[in-house]
Amino acid sequence: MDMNCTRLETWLADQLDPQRDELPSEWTQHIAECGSCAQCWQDERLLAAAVVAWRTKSPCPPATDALVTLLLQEATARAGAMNVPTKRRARSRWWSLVASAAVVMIGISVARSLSPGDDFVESEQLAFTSTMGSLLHRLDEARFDVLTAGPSGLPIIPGLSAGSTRSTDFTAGEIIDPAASSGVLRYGQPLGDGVGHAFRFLQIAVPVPTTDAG
Amino acid sequence: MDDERELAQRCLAGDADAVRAFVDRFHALIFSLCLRMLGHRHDAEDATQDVFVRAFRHLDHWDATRPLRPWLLTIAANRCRTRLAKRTKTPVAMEHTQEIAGKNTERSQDLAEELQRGLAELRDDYRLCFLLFYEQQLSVQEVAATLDCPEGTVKTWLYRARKFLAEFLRQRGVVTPDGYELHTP
Repeated sequence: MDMNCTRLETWLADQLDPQRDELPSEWTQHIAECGSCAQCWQDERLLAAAVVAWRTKSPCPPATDALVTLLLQEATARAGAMNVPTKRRARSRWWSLVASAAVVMIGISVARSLSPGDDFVESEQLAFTSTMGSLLHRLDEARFDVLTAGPSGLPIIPGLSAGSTRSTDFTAGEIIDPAASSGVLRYGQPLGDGVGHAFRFLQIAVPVPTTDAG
Repeated sequence: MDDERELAQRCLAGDADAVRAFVDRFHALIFSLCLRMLGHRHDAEDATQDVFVRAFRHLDHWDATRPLRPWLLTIAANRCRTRLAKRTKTPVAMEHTQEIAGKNTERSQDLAEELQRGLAELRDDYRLCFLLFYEQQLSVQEVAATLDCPEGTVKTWLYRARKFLAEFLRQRGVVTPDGYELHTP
């Protein structure tokens, strides 16, 4: 097998059209000289002729009435099935909307019941005075006369009205040594019930010009 | 394409005329592929029915920008492959060769009959590839898409199928239409 044989075989492999009947002139000489390639070419011609003949001989299909009936049933069932899910989808969409609304309503009511109400805020307001840092911040924002009024001014400082028990468990003007307090109040430490104690600490730690009061 | 889209929509709506038109348009080619692939008439009828039922069930998934025929042929090819895979467990005699070729098995000179005999001997994937290209006249690209394989594979399978069939015809002593007889080496 020489180079021409390989090239002819490659060329034949690429020729998919069964109508081909003529060999290009470039191969004619080689076919005349090479018996093997001549045989390949004859095989190709035979196969091409067979394919053409075979194509024209289609098998006779069966009657289609039964198939059409079956497909109509299928189409009808499908159309029905398509309608049912549509209704179901619409219904389920409605119910999911109602359920979502109910969940939202329940969530709001639960949140309200758990969150501090007006009464709670008035009596505790722990959220605003829960740390030493927030206490300092509130004091910084408070009016000067409130600060000088001492513990009696506590209820009118926004966020420091911690209730009577907390604001009255000490006496205004009482000097307390911070070092003698029960514990060191750190900036981020929760105050809890120690609002009054913290205020006393501030009175000692932060010099307030009480002379300007009033 | 619009015509096919409209036909498909009418079929989905359960229009009897559309269903009949759909079947009339594609039934012969699907049945032909199934019969030539499976080689058994009853099997081919069942497979054809299966193809149409499946096509109707999934007609709403058909990409209306593409022609229906390759889509249906893809379904048919898959159904044939599935049936052939099952057949390896429970073999069924190939009778289609006789149906087309008649009862004369003595070196028939009918090229079509002999080619069908050769196809029955061909490997399943080569046969399917050959049928899609030469019978259904899909392009190499369409065959590749139908069989879900590279175009190079399709070309290789076609070449091997042709080589096998040419060899088969030669061994059967088939002559060409112009009377040239191929001698068995």
